[in-house]
Amino acid sequence: MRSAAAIPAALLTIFLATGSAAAAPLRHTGLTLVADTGHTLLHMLAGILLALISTLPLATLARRETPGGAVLRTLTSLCHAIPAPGALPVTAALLVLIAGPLTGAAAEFVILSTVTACLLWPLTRTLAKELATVPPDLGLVALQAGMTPWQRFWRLSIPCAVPQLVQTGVRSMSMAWFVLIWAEDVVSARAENVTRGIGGYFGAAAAARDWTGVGAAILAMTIVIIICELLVFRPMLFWSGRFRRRGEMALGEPVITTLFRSHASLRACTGLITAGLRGLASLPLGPRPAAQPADSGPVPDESRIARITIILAALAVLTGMTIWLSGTALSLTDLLTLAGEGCITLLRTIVMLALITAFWIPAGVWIGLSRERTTLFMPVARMVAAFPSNLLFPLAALVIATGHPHPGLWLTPLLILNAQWAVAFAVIGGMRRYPPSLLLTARALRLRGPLWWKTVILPGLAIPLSSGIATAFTECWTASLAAEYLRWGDGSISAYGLGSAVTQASLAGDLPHAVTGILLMTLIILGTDRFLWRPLQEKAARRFRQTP
Amino acid sequence: MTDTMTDTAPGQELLRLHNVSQSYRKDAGPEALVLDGISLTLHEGEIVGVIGRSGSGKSSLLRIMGGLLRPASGSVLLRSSPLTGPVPDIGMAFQSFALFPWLDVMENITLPLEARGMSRSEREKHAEDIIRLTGLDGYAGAWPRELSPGLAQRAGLARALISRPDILLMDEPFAELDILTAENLRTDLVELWAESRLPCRSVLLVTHNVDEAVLMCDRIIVFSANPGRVEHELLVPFAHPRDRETPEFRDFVDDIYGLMTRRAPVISEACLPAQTAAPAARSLSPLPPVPVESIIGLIEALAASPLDGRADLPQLATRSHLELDDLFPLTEALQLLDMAELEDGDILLTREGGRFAGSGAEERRAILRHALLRGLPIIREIRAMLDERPSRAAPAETFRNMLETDMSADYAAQTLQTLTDWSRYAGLFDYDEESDRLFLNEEE
Repeated sequence: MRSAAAIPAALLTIFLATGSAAAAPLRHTGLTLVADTGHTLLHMLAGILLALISTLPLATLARRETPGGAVLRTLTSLCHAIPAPGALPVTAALLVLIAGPLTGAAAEFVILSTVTACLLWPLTRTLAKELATVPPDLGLVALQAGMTPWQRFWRLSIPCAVPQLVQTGVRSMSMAWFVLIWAEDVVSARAENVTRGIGGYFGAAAAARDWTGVGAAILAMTIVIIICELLVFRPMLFWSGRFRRRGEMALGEPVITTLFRSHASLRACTGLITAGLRGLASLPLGPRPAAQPADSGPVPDESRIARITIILAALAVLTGMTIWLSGTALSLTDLLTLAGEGCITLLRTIVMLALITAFWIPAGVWIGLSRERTTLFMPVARMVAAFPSNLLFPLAALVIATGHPHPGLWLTPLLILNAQWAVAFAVIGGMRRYPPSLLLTARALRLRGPLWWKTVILPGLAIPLSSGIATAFTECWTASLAAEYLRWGDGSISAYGLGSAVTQASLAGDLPHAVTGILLMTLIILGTDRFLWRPLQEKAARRFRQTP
Repeated sequence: MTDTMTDTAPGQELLRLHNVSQSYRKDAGPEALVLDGISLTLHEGEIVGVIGRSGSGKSSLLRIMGGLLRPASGSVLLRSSPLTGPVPDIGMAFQSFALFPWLDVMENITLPLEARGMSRSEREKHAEDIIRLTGLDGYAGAWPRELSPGLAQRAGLARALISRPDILLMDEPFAELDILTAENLRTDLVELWAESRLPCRSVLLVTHNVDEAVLMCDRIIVFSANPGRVEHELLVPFAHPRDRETPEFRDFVDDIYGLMTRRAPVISEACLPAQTAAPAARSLSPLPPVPVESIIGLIEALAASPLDGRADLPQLATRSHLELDDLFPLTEALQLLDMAELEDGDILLTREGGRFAGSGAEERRAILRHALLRGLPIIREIRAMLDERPSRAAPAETFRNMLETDMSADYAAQTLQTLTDWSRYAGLFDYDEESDRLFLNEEE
C-alpha cells in the first residue's frame, strides 16, 4: 500500500509542475517531440484520474436499487457500447457551438473527454459489480464494528473492488492509448493552440510523408509504454494483490516497490501519505449503523422493456440533438449507404476475428500450457498490446503506395492489431486456470490430436474464449474508425466501410453523417452483444462450467 | 459457576428477546417465516448454547441479538433498554473468521476501535492484553492469508473481545476448523471462562454440534426448524472442566439427540411457554440436498455389523464423521422412504431397509422406485404430468412453480433437484440440463 500510494502522488506532482508548460503553444516542428511525449503522458494521466474520480459516484449511484439506479445501469451499458472515439465529433461540435472555434482549452477538453470515456465505462461497470458483491460476512463485521457509511465505503467496499478495478484498468489501457493517439491526431489537425502530443506529432509527420518523424513517434510511444508499465501498471498490479480475497499473486515484486520499501526516506514519505489517506478513509462521516430490516430478497432485475425504452430514448435524444445541431437530417439513401458500409465493416471484422482466433487458439494454448512460457510471454505481450497500433498504420500506407492498390484488403488487418490481444489473453488465461488434473488425465488416457482438442481443450476454453472474442469484436469497431481511413501525405487512403465513413464525416464537420454512423455502430455492437455474444457466453457457462 | 463471578452479582439479566419473529419475502412468493415467537434471556455469568438444524434461523437470531437485523416483530432489550443497532457492548465472532485480507492481525483486531476514532497508540495498548489472552503473541504483524484456520479464528475472537463487551456472540466458531484445532480452541476458551479471564460477562454460542454445546454451555436451547422456534431448554448440570467420556455426559448428549428427533415437540424440564401446536400441515416440506449415494451408504452402514440394523444417533454421527446438519437430513430421507425409523435418539432399519441392503443393484433400483412412488406423492404427480404430454417431457420450471406454492423459490429449486437425483437412480424420470426439462425415459 505504501509504495503504490506514492505513485499517484508523484505523478500528480509532475502534472502540477508541468501544467504551466502544457498551456504554452508548441506549434513548431523540430525537437518538440520530447514535449509532445510529455503531453501525451499528461493527457493519459489526467484521463485516468478523471475516470477514477467520476467512476466513484457513478458506480455508487448505479448500484442503488432505485429507478434512478436502474436507468444509470442501462445508460452505462449503452455508453460502454459506443465506440469511444465516436463521442469525439459530438463533443467537438457541441464545444464549437458553445465556445466558438476549437482552440486551446476546448480542444484539450475534447481529447481528455475522449480518453476518459474510453476508461470510465469499463471501470464503472466493474466497480458497480464489485460493490454489489462485497462478502456479506465482512459487511457484518463492518456494521458490528460500528463503521459509518463513509468508513464502510473506503475501508471495505473500495478495497474489495481494487483487484478487479486495477485489472480492468490495465486491460483498458490498450484501447485508451489507441484512442488517445487518434484523438490527438484528429484534434491537432483541426484545432489551433492545442498541445498536440505524440498523436499530433505523428499526424504532422504522416502529412509530410516524413518517415523519420513516424519512426520517432513510434520510438517515443514505445518508451512511454515501457515507463508506464514499469512505473505504474506493474506496481499497481502487485499492490492490488494485497486486496485479493483468494488466489495467488502471479507477479514478483516490481523494482519500483522494492525501491520504495528499502529506502528509509522514501518509506517514511509513503508511510506519511498512507497514514493520511487512511485517516481520511476512517473519518466518522455519516450516521453509525442501526439495525436493518430484513432484506426483501433480491430485487427483480429491471424489465427488458424498461431497458429497451431507455436505450431507444437515449438514441432518440442523440439523433434529435444531431438534427438540432446541424439543422439537417439524413435522407433514406444516406441511411442505406451507411447500412451497406456497416455490413462491409461487419464482414471484415468477422473474417479478421475468425483468422485471429484460429491463430491464437493453438499459439495461446502452447504458451499457456507451460508456466515458464507464460511468465516470459505475458509482460512483453502486455506492453505490445498496450502499444497503440495506429502508429503502425503508415506501414499499410507504404504497402499500398508501393503498388498494391487494394486499400480494402490492406487496411483490413489493421482492425485486429490491438483487438487480437483480447483473444490471446483469454486463451492464455483460460489455459492457466485449466484444472491440471484434467490435463494430467488426458495425458494418462493418451488423448492426442483432434480428439484432445475436441474433448479437452476447446470445451475448457469455451467460457474465456467466448468473452474474449466478444471484447475483441467491440474493439475492432473502435479500431475501424482509425484503420479504414488513413491520412497520408496531402491525400488519404480509405477503404469502403462504416469506420471510414464516420471518420471522413467527422473530419469534414458533417455531423449528421458522423453521429448516425456512430449510432449505427452502437446498435450493431449492442445487437450482437444481446443476440450473439451474450447467449453464446451463457450457453458456454451452462455447458462447460467446471463446478456445479 | 457462581464463584467465577466475583465483581458483580450473578444472574443479572443482560439481553432479553421477547416474542421475536422474523420473516423474509421473496419477490413474488409468500412470506417465509424464519423465526417464530422467540423469547429468551441471556444472564450474566452463563454460556448459552443454541442448537438446531439448518433452517432453524440461527444466523438470523444471532444478527438480531447483535443489533444488525431488525426483527419483524417483538422486542430486543439490552440491560432493559431497546437495542437499535450494533453496540460495543456486544461482540461477534463468525464461522468464516471474516478477517479483512488487506489488514494485518493487529489492524483487524483493532478495527472496531479505529472506527470509533481511537488513536493508533491507544488502540495497540488496548490490544496487548487481548492478543496475549487469545494466544496470538508474535502474530500481530501477520497477514490473514498467512494464518492457519485456528489462528485466524483466534484473531476473529480477539476482534470480538477488543471492546471488552458484556456479551460475546459466536456463530458456529469451530465449524471450519479441523477436529484437533477446534478442540484446542474450545478448551482454551472454557479455561479462560472458568478462570474469569475472558473479558465478557456472558457468551452465546450457536452450533450444530451437540457434543460441543454440552461441553461448553451452562444452558442449551434447542431450536426446531422451518420456522425456527424454541423447542426445548435444558440446564447442563456439569461443572467445568467436563469430560466427554463420562457416562453422564454421553447420556446427556443422547437425551438431546432424542429430543431433536422426537416427532411431536415435548416440553422439557425447563418448561417454556407451551408450544404444542404442530407445524401447519403441508403437502410437501422442502427436501434437503441428500445424494442417493449417501442414502445407500447409510443403509449399508446400518445393516452391517456392529450396528446390525440399530444405532445410537450420537454414535452414528461420530462413526461416520457427520455433523447434525448432515446426519438429520439423511435420517429424514430414510424415514420418508420408509427405510428406517427413529426412536428415542436411535435409528432402526425397517424390513424394507434391510431388504434394500441385502439386494443387488437392479433390485435396489426397484425397491427405491417403489419407495419413492409410495412415500412421495409429488413424484407420482410429476410422472402423470409427463405422461400426459405427447413429447413425454416438460419444462422443469413448471414443477418448480408447482412446488413454490408450498415453499420459497430456493427451497423449491433444491427440492426438485433432490427429487430428480433420486428419480434418476430409480429410473422414474430424467432431466436434461441444457433445456432445463424433465422427461420420461421411453425404454421403461
